[in-house]
Amino acid sequence: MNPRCWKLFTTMLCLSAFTFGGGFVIIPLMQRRFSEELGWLTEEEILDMVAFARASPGAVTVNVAVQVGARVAGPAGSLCGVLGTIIPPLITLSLISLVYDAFCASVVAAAFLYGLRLAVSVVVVSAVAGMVSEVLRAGDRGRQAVLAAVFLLSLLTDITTIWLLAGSALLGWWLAGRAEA
Amino acid sequence: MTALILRFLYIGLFAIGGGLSAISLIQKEIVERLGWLTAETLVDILAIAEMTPGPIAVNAASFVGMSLHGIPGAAAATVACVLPGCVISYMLYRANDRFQRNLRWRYALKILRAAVVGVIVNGGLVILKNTLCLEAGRLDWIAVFCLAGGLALYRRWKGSPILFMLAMGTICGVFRLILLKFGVNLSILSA
Repeated sequence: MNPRCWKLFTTMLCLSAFTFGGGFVIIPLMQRRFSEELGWLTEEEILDMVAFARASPGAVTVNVAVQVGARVAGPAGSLCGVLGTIIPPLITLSLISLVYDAFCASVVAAAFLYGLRLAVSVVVVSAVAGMVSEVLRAGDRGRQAVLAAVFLLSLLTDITTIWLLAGSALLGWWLAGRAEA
Repeated sequence: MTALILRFLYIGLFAIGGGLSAISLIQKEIVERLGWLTAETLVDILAIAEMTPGPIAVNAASFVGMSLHGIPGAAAATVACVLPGCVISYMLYRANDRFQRNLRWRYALKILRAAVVGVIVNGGLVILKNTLCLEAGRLDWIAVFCLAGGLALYRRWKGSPILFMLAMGTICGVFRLILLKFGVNLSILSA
């Protein structure tokens, strides 16, 4: 088996086992692992993949894993990435569905989940801060404005993210067209 | 079993925009139309899915599959649920490869990346709020202190984030158990 496939599989297995609340929690972690530590792809590539994942139906995490897999090891990589992502929740939920009542009553489980949630927040906050400072330091006014606008709109209004992303892609397309003309 | 797979393929295909839309589809299809689950069980599943790692839709599919058909059911429902999204995002990724030479497309992507960071910042805030706020919008001061301490330590941490999360999670969990054991009324500490 391709060693990269195996590494991808184990990485996604670990990340997926620790990300509560789904969706965007895992993205900064994937970015740190795949672009900073392993150097498999650039930070921009991951962000593109997130946009495509968001535009497709289903869980963002799984959709990003498919693309990272395809990028580093082709279709086999995609398969490894997806399996790594879905196996931890599959096992956890299957086990919990068997012992649901005991799980809900357990003080120890609740305390551990509480601690883990705090720890995940720490890692996510620091990763997100890194991503933002990257955009701010790059010094492109347009991108900074888009970042701020999208953040405020998703915080203050009920507009679905998919429309915010589609809107900014269109804006970029239009701006690029004007710059050409 | 075939019905289960078909249902979750359908849910996976039309759940655009993340976990919550998947949940509302499950509510409509599995609870109201098919009656495979009661509304209360769905609420329970949501609570567990929030508590445990992994995407909410995947969690819900695993739980429903497991309770209907055991382990094969859980595996089948989960795979069916993620398959449509995987296929579509794989095709989008491929299409992007082909468009890379187009300058306009590349600039649009540049703007799009900034937008994605904006969305991620919002996602991060939601996580923070869920961690730091108790019910009724009060702040959990213990969590605030743990978080601040964790951040200070994490900045100097050289090892893997996963190890850090496990260590800090265990320490904070034990800390909370000790507080509970000594009967510290946690609600006094929260303002």
